[in-house]
Amino acid sequence: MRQKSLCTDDLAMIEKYSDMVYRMAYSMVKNPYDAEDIHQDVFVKYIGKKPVFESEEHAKAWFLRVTINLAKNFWKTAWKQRVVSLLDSDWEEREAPAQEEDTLIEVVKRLPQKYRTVIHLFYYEELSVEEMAGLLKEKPSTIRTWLTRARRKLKEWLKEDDYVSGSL
Amino acid sequence: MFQEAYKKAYDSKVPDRDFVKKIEDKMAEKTGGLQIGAALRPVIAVMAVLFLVSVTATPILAKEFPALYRLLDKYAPALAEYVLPEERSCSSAGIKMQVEAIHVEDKDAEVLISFTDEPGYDYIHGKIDLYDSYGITSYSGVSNVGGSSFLEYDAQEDKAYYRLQMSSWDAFDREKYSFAVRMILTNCAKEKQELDLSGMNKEPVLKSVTLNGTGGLVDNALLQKYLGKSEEELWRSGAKVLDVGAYNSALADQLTLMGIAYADGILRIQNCRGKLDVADRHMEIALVDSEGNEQYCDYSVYWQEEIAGERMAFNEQWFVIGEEELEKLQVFAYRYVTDGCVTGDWEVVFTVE
Repeated sequence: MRQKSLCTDDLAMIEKYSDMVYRMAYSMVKNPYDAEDIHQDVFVKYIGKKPVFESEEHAKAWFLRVTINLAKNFWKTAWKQRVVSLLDSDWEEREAPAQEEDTLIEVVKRLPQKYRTVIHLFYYEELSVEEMAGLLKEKPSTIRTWLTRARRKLKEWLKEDDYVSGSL
Repeated sequence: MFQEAYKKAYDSKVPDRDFVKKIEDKMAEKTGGLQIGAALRPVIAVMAVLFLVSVTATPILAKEFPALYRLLDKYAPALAEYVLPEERSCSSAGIKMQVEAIHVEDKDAEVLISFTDEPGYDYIHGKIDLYDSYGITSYSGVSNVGGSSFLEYDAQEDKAYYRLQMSSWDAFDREKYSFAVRMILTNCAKEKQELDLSGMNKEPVLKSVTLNGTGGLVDNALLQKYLGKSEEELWRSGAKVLDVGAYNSALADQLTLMGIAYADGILRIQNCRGKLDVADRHMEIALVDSEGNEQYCDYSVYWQEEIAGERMAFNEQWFVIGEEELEKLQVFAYRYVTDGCVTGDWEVVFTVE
């Protein structure tokens, strides 16, 4: 039994930011099931809090920020933390993935979470280093370092691939 | 090209089209939307408790699954405390981690954690870094976010302090958390050193190296203009870097500035990071103008060389800059160094209330 329905304004906001939230979540948690969970939680929070946005940029930043926070928090639950620790601990030394089977997304998924986050914000959401710094509450130099390291690793993994022929 | 491919790949990632209904269901779930008859509630509660008691017969289950712990805490708080007792200090690998203080203000909480040597060990004598190896677990189901950062090293106490900061969507009531750490980098330092460019080599000898990585946000057109190569060609045919003469094995355990040169509109600064290990030592170069604005490199290249049987990592940072402009700037090297890494299994459990 459904307790209440969403109002038109809520639906409009959900429609508008749904894909962005889902893609951000997916890039961080790496699977559609958890991404859906986070996607739903973000909008439940939105409806619960009803924040007032000064502009579209403000709204976009709010949704991205909440998604990132929920995804980070999600990762830090006990068992996922252990799984991630095992997966992420040796990423610098990891061999290049088998290119034949792996799509670009699969390759990016091999980066640690913070690097995936900046890659997604930079290449998909097209945020500047300063915007990312504000969103992630880090210094621009830190963001630049993460981006550089992520790009360096992707370049290693993708170097035999066509993707690298352009400006990564 | 990467961006196009990445966007194309992610364009296909969309949520289940039934997502509005799922959001409504979740809202109903969170606001207790299931309309259960009042008479049935005690029966369900008793059944839930019995179920929980049976499931948590093995206490580790409740500790491993925060959702189970939350139910247990709700219906049998004493058992919950038994399953997941407060453990405000723990020791591993010669280092003791301890909760020193908890400060709560409405929706924000700060937890002060200290790290100190166990008798007979000497790791803690400066800044430490948890190297992203920590995890904060909430056992209370309160939606929150958290992070940690180094606070200070107290030389008198010989303790390093870390601060956990957590924000909740609702005011903290009585919530239990664990904070676990797997790795501690010891005696970390960020040293700032001004580089003197007066004796800079303006006719550098270059050598070709095979790259292991590149960094920077410069575009291909600029690379083509200044290096006569695209990124693809850099990867394929190798990059020209400063030839600073023979390397030696003394480079293995330190961060070393290898050379500075300026030619063809590019300032090149080369450093050796020593042996590749988890210590993460590296050098960041910044050009600083009279107002204190910092400018980082336009491009950097990474490669490895085998020296005395060890693989060592090298990095050269490139700044595309006119000579006149360069003369107006100061050049600083930020050196990120550490004594080494201690791995262990530290975990404390505490209540924020």
